[in-house]
Amino acid sequence: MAKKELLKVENLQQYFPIKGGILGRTVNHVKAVDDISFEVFEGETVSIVGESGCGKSTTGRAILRLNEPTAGKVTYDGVDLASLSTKEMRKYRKDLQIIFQDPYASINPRQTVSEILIEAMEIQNVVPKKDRRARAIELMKTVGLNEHQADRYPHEFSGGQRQRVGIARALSVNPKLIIADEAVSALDVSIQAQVLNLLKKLQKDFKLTYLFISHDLGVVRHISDRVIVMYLGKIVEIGDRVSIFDNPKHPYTKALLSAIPVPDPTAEKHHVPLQGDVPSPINPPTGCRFHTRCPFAQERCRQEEPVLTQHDGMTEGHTAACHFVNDLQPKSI
Amino acid sequence: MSKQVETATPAKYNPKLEYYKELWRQLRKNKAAVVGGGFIVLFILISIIGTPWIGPHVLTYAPDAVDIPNKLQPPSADHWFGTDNYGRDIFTRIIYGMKLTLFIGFTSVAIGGIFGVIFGVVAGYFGGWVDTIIMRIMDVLLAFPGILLALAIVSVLGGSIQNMIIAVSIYSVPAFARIVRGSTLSVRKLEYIDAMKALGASHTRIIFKHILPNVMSPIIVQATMRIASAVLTASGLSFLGLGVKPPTPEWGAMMNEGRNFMRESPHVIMFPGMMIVIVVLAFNIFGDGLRDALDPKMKK
Repeated sequence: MAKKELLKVENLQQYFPIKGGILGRTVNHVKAVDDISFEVFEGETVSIVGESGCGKSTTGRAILRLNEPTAGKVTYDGVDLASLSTKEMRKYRKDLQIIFQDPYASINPRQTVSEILIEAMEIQNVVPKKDRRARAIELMKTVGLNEHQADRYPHEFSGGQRQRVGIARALSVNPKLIIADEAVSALDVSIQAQVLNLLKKLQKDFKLTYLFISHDLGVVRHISDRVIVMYLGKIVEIGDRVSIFDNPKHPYTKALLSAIPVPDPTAEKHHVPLQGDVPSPINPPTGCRFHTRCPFAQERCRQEEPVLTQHDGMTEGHTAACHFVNDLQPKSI
Repeated sequence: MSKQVETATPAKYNPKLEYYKELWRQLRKNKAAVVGGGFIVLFILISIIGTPWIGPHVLTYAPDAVDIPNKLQPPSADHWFGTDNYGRDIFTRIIYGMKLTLFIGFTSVAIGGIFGVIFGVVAGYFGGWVDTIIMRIMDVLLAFPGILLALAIVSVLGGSIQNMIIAVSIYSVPAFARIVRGSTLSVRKLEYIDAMKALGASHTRIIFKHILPNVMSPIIVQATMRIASAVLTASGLSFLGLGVKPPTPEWGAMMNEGRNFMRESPHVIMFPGMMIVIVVLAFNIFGDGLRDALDPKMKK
């Protein structure tokens, strides 16, 4: 089956200026996302993983132009979003929605659930005015809330229920792509499973495409078709779920995966401890950004920046940015 | 699929009403605030009496009825607060002055508040050079002591009730702008603002429907406190002869007139002065209580 490319991100850069001095001039930049490219196919779930500060949320926000990207192209369904004016962009916003991490901060505390949903429909003018309330109630049922809760305020709901409200709001404009920015990270584990299953069900029912941003590898393994691993504003490895989890090639991915707790005390541990902290994204290391913490770093890594390449023994579409992929034996770390 | 847990009986009550009930429960705990609030209600009732439609039927004297033979009378059963140097009944004049005082206080705070809130929310929401320009202008206004600024404005525009309201409004603007800007800065970072942007909401919609309702609490508190200082400034201006002119029964102007007879007849300035103190105190205490009652709500 030929897959349709729904979203294509090319050379996306997001630099945040650091102002300093008495004149408030830009003295430096935080290079939150530095030159990343990937594509998302229709109907699939792509996850972006990485530790905090690696630029995964920034990527999501830049795609939606919640922060204007510094450079790069974001093509949605053949249209370059970054080139649109704010007004033109508004029309496309109904196709691209976002679910946020914090269920307590992501809904206006002064609006009832029905007001929140009706307003979303009003902004994009998706449903005739008289049908909006009925549609809002239908949406609430879709995400597992009850009709009689329509006139309740957010503080009357639990965290999981609020997250459902956030999902309903995103759905209210009939989007095609939903960016889930740590959508389940703030929920406790049992609720996480419920919300993840809801997201999966919605994906099937409404043919949604997800860009799923998370630091939780367990969640990512459960929901993704493909996985993007980011480190310090760069993509270090992309591949389908099976390849990434069973055949990780980049030392960073390996280290990340070895940190997943295994619920078996007798299991042999291949824990790869990483030394030190993530370097500052203001002055990222030269060459391979991971060389400061990589147990295999060599001189070449300090000099030359590796590009995403498909090496021997990797499946189609699985690429890693490391010079020494083939020199690292699977069990060597 | 998950089962929904029934959290309460189906919604029959109005949550907005619940909010005010909760506010009242919090406010009631603070006895001083309740007394302050009670006084404010009393002031409003008094100012209704002081209108030309009700006043003449309830009060024995007219506010500007001159009665020279009975001038500078000390308080008595006939004249509860005594009479001034023209024999006018001070009690009647204070009641008529109440309306004027509250009118000046409320209107100037309303006008100053509206402009201050707009400036503050625009500065906080858009940031950048818009913020810099607006806030530097506010800083310039704040650099002058309030009464001095009001004095300067009144002396340029000329003394009248209208100009005094303009002066007091202008000097209330920066206080509102600062508070609203601060609150806006914290609210605009919240994810629901981003969610509205992602939905394609316009700036106007975000500002008026999503930011303003969530920064209302500090505005209400500030407005209450500002009424007190507006009253004080207005009477101060009138006392200096730059605000409301005699024979209007404005308290500051009454004190100004009574100044010359302070030694023999202290009651002429004592009663208007006392009223100013009570009004200012009542609004301040009530504003304090309101802030305490609203604060835990904001932390939620």
